Amino acid sequence: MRCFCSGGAVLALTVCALLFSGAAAPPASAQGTGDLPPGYVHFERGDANGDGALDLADPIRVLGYLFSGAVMTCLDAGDFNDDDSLNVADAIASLTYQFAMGSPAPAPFGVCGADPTLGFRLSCNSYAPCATETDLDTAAHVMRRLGYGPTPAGLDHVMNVGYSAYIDEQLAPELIDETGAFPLETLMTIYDPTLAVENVLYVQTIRAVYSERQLQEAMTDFWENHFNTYVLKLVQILQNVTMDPVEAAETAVAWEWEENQFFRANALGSFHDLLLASATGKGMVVYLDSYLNVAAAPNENYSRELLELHTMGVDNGYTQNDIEELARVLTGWTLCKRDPVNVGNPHAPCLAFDDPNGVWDFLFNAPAHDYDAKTLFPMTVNEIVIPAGDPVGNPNAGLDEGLLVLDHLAKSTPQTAEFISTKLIQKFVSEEVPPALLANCISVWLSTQGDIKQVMSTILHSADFVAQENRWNKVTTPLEHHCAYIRALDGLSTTLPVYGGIGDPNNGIIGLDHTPFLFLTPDGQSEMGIDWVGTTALLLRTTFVNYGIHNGVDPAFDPIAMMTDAGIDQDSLSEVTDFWLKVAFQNSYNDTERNLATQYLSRDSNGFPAPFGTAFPDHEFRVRSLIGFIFSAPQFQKQ
Amino acid sequence: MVNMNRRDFVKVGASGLALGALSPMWRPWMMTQKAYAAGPVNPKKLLVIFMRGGNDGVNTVIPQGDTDYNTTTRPTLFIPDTQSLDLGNSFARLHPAMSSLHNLFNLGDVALIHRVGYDNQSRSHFSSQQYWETGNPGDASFHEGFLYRYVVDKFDLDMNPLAAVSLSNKLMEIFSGQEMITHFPAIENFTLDLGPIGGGDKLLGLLPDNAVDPPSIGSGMLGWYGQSQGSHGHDALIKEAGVSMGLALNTLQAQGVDPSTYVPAPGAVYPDDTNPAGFPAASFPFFQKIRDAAILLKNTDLRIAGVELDGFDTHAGQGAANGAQAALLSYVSHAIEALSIDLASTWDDTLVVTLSEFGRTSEENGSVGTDHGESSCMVVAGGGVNGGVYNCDPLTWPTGSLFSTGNGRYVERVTDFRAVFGEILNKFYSVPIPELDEVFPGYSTYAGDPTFNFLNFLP
Repeated sequence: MRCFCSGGAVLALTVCALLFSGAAAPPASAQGTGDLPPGYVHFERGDANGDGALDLADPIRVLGYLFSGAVMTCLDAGDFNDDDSLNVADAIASLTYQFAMGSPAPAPFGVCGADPTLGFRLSCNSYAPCATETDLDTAAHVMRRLGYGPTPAGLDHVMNVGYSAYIDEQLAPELIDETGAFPLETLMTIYDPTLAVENVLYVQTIRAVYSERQLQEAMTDFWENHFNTYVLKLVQILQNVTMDPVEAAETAVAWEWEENQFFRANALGSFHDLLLASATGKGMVVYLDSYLNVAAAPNENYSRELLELHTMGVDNGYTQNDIEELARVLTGWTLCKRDPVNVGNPHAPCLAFDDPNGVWDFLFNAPAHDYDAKTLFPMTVNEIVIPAGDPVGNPNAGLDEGLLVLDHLAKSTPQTAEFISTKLIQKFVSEEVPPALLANCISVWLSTQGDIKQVMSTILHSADFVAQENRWNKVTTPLEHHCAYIRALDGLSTTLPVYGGIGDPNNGIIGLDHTPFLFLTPDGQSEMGIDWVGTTALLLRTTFVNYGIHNGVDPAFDPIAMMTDAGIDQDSLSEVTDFWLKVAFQNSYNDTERNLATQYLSRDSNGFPAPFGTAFPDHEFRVRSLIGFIFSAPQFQKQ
Repeated sequence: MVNMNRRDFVKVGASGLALGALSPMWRPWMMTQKAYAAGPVNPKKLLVIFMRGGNDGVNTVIPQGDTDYNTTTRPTLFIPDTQSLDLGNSFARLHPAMSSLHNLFNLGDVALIHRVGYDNQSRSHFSSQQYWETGNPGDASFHEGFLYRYVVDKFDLDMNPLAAVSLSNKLMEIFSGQEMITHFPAIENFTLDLGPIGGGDKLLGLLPDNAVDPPSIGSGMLGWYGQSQGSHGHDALIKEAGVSMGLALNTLQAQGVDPSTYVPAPGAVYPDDTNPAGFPAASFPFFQKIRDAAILLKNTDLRIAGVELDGFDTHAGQGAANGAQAALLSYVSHAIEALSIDLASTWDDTLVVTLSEFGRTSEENGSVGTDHGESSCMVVAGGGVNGGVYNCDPLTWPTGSLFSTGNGRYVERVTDFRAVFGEILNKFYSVPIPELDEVFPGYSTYAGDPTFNFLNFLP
């Protein structure tokens, strides 16, 4: 290992020997070795003995550490002058400050914080006064599971505030200020979501990578998928109606974007609002044929999926007869074009379908409604009896039938609470749903009438959410995989990514058959790991990662600068390997994996052993190849 | 439970080959090639085509002789016998878009099997597709494919990584299980191509080998995936995917399979950009998969392939002689005829089978379509089948059959799909009847159930 000690003094050399001989190095963890990436453990500079106070005992501890084997768990805290080495000068600087009006220490001083100079020669293995309950691996797990994976800065934040407080922050996304957040706003103007459905997907991908509102983004994806609509069907039907392919395409994209914005704004809102928006949403009305559902000839497509996929879950408390009754309840729910001033008024007059000034809007078409009596879910707790309606006496009677049923399904139907809670637990905790957690969620759902924020709080604050057995137990979806890769490497980027081509996350996830907005069937895409693991899935993930690392998945990503900032000995196979393993997996890798990665770095691109180091022209190429290899590992297919 | 699984077993079993001691140029396919040489001369090969969405069987193999099939029950979907194609039994007729299949039918190479389903039919796409593919209807928690069970029982996927291939974007559930069957949507793209940077071989690497002393940790992805011992979540599945991916890539490369230079037998056309043959661009991805299946069936030891075609969920705008369903049926029909020509030399040992999760309502709905129903029809094509129409003839199809389910809306099944595949496994693949229980759980308990009688569409 290269020695960074400077000054030439005998004492300093002794310190150097102590630091790097292994005797004074922090104990290697059971899995993997090497230091944590910089900035992960917070400390107060000067407090060398970690008792939370700066006093005479601290320089004494430094001297004791240097000369008589005293223990220090945070060498950075003893590095009073922040020159990234521990020596007598630190003890002297501390004494001078305390007793002779000397200069204060550089930050973090007097408060808990990370080392802003990102020194990597000294380690801070632990510093109790600044510790939260959140260790590195827990912080990383929480960021993986409730969002799209850790960034270096994000890990720092979660460990600083504690994961529980972080969850609370995430449950209130409106309080996370994103004004002017880079590069969110810039990218939104480049990928204008009103122009093309690919751009709606870009917005979702870009926000997943760069937004601090990670949970909100994960939930937006959840609702998009839960209430899936297939944009190409919308285009096709609109084209048949308006006879204008350009208008049809623009309209369908606008509907998807409108829907996406609603799901984002209500990601942690009321399930009833979400369900009603979907049921009357222009996309859904067309996608599942509601517009064709008329009294004379009911179309049961939407009513079946409303029960099977959107609320109760397949065969969970309803019958074929209920589907047919529900289809009759929803007869007359359709669309028409209206004068823009009348949008939102279901009784307002309609314009012709090809009227260029008209705006598509939900229409309750009373003449197409079946006003006969209906009974849903007879002989069950959910039984709803709807008497024959009188369209003359009450113009809202027909529409109200459907609103009544949606209200009931969203707020007080136990099967809905069960089904949606199950899906949420499977997304955020485990495919194997812990029964007690599910029972809690159902109870919270029914007592709050489907308040998603409360249900999500129940899930994220549960012991199950952070339990060891639920870590790394889920396969990432392609969106999660690609975003986590970029986030892990891109946390410090201040340069605008330019997407396109094979390293493009959008192309990547579409190639992997993860196609929000372009998924044909109404069940949406699976949350089950088995559906995302396969030979082709792995090949495409591997290609994305390895091609991207050399071809600018983010042009600002500079592995050499990252290692330089961290003080890594870039001639050292083991230091370089450990650094990137830690970035990818924190402490979750074993010795064999470490050996495979080191071996990989030690070979040239033809697979033959070749000397490695900054002196060789393939140095950066080899490092980038190593990163690609590490992020192709089994562990990175999981979260 | 962490057991020695298939991959570990191979490492031990292959000790004589001393994998790790070989040069970096050694590739697992060298072992695979030996297996080819020892293989049977004319192995039986099967291609299944899953018609997803629920194909309207009534307008595919049309019970024209049933007086309930008329313009009252199907005002716009009714296909008159002036358009439909004669199937020779004075009762059933074929959809007019399936003229290619009709040619093959007239050669005696096609069995058309109507009214196939299963008890307590699910009308959910997702459940019913699962039940067909797992071969275990009614068990929603069961996700292992029935062809998977047959494949892993008969073939060693390490020796023949291409024994079965799912030519699909995602693995078809019919092939799903603990051991990872290879899937890819196109041979052309199934390559670890890192572009100008190269290094694909280094990245792929070599499997670990415990049989040498000291044990080799292997290298690259095969080393990492091959050593993966995690018992957490999906660890075993991910490990399988990595190993299968590596072995399949090596095998394809070793076999020199190159779709860009493939020339089908004269007369066999797989429509694409350069030769649409009258088919729309939307059909090309399907035909590309059929073509790739043919390439693999001809040039590798592929035994069972799967292809899927989406879009049969015709709630609206189904069409009659022309339209949405007609287009899809024409793709399937053309594909089967092209395969019969391209695979002519082994056609007697080949079966092409279509399936769909359910049929549709016998009565047309209000949106010139049909809703989810129960039984539908299957096509079994091959040089060795007893061609003909099954379950759609005057003797077995009384009037009222169109509305024969409990609620009077659908066609009741008369044959269980497990009996169709049971017959294929028994007669085509020589699986003894008692062993069918291993493919279809509880198969023997249905003995005596008339819906499980073999139809004898195979000799």
